[in-house]
Amino acid sequence: MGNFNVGNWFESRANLNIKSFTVEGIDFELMALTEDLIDDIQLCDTYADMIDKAADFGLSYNRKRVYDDVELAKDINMLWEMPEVNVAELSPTVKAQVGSEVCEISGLTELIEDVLEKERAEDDRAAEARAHLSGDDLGDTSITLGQLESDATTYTTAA
Amino acid sequence: MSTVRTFRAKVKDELEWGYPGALVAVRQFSESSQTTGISSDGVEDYEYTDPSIEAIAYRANYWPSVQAQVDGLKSRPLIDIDNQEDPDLFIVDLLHAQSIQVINGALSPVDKMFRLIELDVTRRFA
Repeated sequence: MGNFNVGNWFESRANLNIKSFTVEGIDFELMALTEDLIDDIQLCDTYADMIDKAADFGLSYNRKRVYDDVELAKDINMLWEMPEVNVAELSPTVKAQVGSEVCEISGLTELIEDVLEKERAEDDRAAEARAHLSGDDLGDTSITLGQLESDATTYTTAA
Repeated sequence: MSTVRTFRAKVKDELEWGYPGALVAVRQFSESSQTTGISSDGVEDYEYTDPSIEAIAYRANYWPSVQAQVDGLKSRPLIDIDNQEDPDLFIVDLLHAQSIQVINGALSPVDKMFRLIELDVTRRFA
């Protein structure tokens, strides 16, 4: 085992950006995510999942990460379900606001905003496609195999 | 003129944009199957088993919507971004539970093949 370097340890602690955060009158202690946890966030498929996980991962107490405590980590879901925290009419939810704050102190704001922007653009395009539909009748009587071949041959991939 | 087989499905283009109501048209397909003939004392002719589908490959085009096809817009080929060699060629996963169900079903061999292709597209771009 290599020598333990107190300076490096304090540096890693400083990077945790431990801070108090109050939302809707609820006081939280939050800390930034480690590299491993950031990797987990980056594996999420959606913006909502990213925010959700960031909130779970970023909770702390007495300058210790709740998620790292095997026993306490079991209570994280219970916390988010408490009536004081899970306020139904609130949008964004308390958890979402906490997750967003954790992302900010972890330097992930740009990443999650990119994901959100992409999701919104996809929703717009999906809505546009839906609006373009005129029922479920398949207007395929005029399609010919020659046309399909021609379209495929002349198509240039976008990427 | 034979009718081009079409169906509605959600597809994605090579930039991962999704089109939930796309009109998909099968452009090419290749199917291989095996038929077995059994002779029996009880019957004069060979007794043929149902063809056993061994592989299905296909290429397909899509329009983002039915209306886009009606409007006369060009279709685009479905692209598999993970297939560098032949990006618009797709192989049906015949071992998938949905495929097995269709193969064991009562559809005609041709309808089975197109149904397998439709389910394959639906799974790929879900």
